[in-house]
Amino acid sequence: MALCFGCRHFVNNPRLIESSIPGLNALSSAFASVRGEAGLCSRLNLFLSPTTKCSYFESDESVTEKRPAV
Amino acid sequence: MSEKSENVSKGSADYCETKACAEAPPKQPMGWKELYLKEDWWAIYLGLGITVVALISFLSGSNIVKSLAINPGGLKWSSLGQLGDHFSKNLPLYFIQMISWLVVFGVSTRIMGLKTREFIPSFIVLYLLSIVMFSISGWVNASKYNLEPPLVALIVGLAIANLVRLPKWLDSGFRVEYYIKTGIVLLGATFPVTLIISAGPVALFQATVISLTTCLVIYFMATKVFGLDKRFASVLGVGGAVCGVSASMAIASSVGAKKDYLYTTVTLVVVWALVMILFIPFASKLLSLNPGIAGAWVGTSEFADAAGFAAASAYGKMAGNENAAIQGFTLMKVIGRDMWIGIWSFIFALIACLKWEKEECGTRPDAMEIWWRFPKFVIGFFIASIFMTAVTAGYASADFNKVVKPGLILPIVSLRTWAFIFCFLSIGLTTRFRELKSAGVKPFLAFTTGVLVNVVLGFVLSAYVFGSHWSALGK
Repeated sequence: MALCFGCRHFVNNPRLIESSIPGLNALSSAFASVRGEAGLCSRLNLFLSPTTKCSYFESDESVTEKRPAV
Repeated sequence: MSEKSENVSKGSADYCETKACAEAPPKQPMGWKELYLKEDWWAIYLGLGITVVALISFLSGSNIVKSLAINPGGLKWSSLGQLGDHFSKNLPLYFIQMISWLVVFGVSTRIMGLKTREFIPSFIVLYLLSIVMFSISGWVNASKYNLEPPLVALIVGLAIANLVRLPKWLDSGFRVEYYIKTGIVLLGATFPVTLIISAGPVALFQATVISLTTCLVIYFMATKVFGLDKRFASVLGVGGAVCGVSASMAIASSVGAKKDYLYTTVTLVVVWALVMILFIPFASKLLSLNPGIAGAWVGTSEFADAAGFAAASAYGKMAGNENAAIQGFTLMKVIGRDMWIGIWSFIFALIACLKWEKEECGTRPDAMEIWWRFPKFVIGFFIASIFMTAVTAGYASADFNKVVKPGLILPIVSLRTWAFIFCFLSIGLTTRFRELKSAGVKPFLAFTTGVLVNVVLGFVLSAYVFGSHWSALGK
């Protein structure tokens, strides 16, 4: 099953999310529980749950090295 | 056709167009790793840890925590010489205190993934600015000129962030949410659990009324009047109704919203939250509202915990009963409204999956989402409240006021105030107006309609429908 979680377009590193959406850390945080593991899809420009699936999926084998599962 | 419909699959591997898609191995979700990767949990560890250390110190007759909880806010100084004397006499204590904060916040943020080399200088700047804020509030004429620490910290932070181009890496130490969550857990340690039991049901009822009404008004205005996308409407609606940016983030991911929808909502929430920080305290002052009522109004109509605490604390100080305003706010916002985040998130995920994109839903929403999205620091608030209520239950009222309050409660209150000042300054320091997105007229009007309904309804519920209930707080 190809979930966004393992896709190279899916970015859920909290620091990158905060730098992508200025103002987000002014009254909230990407390190908060409420975000869960949601992240940005750099391909479709969406904010997604990691369990979403998509036809543009491209596996990213180095995903764990590039960004911790946070 | 919805924005996602042409891109998101039915959720089966055989729909994939690429080999990589079909063969990709499943990845493991974070699960319980959140226990050390999310700031909510660290706020709990830190808040409860400080509480336990303060209790041990108190029971063993040590003055360590009491001494380290020092702040110049209660000095009532009238000359700079007095202020200078205080600092020269207590410099070692302030130094140890700064190092202690630096270690606990530095280590925890390092584990969460922030860079220590960025956090340390940033936090030192924040600490020094906080000393200045406390010093201003300790001036004998501070209240005469409405120099309430939350408002001063916010305005100073905003001025610095918008007049000086601070390097972006400094944000590493300006962790608004982490500080406010730590402060809320510490607040739990001084918040009687009996009050939660007696006042909680009214808070939950009022929160339910306000959340449903505000969300539906914004959603209706956005979709029916202004013709905005329903995903956008849901992010705007829940952002305005529940918990601002945090709720917007949760809903955006539940419905798979465009990044721009989230960005726009963040802008609207930040701008309106700043307006409310100033509007509600001064409107309350104009109306001579009871601080408990004003606190409940802030809790009903402010958009974020951090902004709400600034407003409630500011008015509480203006009215001479900060405790009542903080209690009213906490009951309404933290206990009443924040609870809704996971539930709204799950409901909108279900709607998006079963109704908006019936043919193309990815993975069915799991009810466990309610738990994963739950703002866990609230659990820490409850634990701290239950624990300290049980510990202090054996003291007679006179002993409590004479022994427990100065030796245990006030040091915790002082450390909580430090956490809040870190937060209020951080709000200003991270709000750069030049970086906010232009919202557009339609989203602005839809959101603003909800804000107006929320503010008026929040006032009516707090001051009239449940006025006698809220005015009894803090006595």
